[in-house]
Amino acid sequence: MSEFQPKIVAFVCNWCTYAGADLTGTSRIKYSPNVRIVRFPCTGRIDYMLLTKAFASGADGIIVSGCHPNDCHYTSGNFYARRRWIVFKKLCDFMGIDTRRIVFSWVSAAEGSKWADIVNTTNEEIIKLGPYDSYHKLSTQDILE
Amino acid sequence: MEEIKKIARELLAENKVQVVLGFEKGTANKVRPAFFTKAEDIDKLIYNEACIHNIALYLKKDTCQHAKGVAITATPNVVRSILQLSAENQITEEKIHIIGITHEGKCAGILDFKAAEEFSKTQPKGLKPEDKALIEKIQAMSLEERFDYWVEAFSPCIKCYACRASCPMCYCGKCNVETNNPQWIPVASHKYGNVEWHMMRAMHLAGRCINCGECNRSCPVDIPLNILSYMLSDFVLDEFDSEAGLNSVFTSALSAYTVVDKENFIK
Repeated sequence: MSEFQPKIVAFVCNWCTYAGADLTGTSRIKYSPNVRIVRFPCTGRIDYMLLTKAFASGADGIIVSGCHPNDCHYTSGNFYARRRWIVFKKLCDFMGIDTRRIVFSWVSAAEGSKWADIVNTTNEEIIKLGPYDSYHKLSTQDILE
Repeated sequence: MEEIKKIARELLAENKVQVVLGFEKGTANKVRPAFFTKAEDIDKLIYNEACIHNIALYLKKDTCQHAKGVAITATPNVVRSILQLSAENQITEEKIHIIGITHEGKCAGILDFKAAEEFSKTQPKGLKPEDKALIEKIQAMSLEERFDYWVEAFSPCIKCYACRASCPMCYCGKCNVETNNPQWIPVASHKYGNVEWHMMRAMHLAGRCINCGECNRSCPVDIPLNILSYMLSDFVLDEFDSEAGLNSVFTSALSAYTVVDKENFIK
């Protein structure tokens, strides 16, 4: 195990990915404990500001996950979310915010193993990238200066 | 110029409108936006190449909200703002009398929304070459350079919110920056809060910005913040074929979706 243990925040929807992560647990599939899951009613509820707040509060990586297209509990929440992510990712890229640290995925309630896989690969990726110092520095040090 | 005055005077005299939004002479050879409520005051109404402010934002202010009819001297940017405000159900056609002014400064007469849509389509728009160059320059940078560039660019920001105040699309009664529980945007103007503020601003305007550049013009510390919205409008146009300010009935890109939206990053 490497020395650096990243903090990963997962913003997931209640109906698919949260249930999927539950299935990962009940299926006894082991996955990285570095992830902190935050449950939302729908992916459409996941505000992009929450992502920046997570980075500012010390997260090194973020997973955003919800129902597959056409499977949204509220019919269209994930379609709105998808557009928002497409635009948000573009803005982040343009502003130099490291989008390799934000993983978007669709995980259904039946995809327990996919969830474990997403968390593990994200964890490995973030370990390779190291802590997100440049953003953390903004939110801590620069305030005091 | 005389034609604009004539139209404005008639509208006020016939009591079709209670207020005319336009420009008057300001101090030191400057112009300033003005509200004209009497036909005899129209003599003071001016229009020249210095009148570049986007006065569509005053349509959401009390004076215009309470009037039964409002006339506005509208350059192409103002017309686009009006159309977008209408698309967002902020103003109604019956109330607004658009006195169109082309980009060459010629009077285009009174435009109803249908005519305004045509007018808006024929008027030149798009980025200034220097803005385009800056966007390309930033896109050519590495990730770290881009981040440093923006942190540096935002660092003089004093959080005066002139960009918000001058934007016709920023009409929310209570803005997120005034919410302090939870505190979305830190009040103090440190680097972190500045980045978050400008990021939020750009996202809220994505697909709605009509690219008038008023935010950049009003910024007292000259942050090139308009290019954030410019870049996103360009992107939204390419990606979703959606452009603000062309139609009076329109759902902006982020309030809509199609089941076939394409992306290549969702696992």
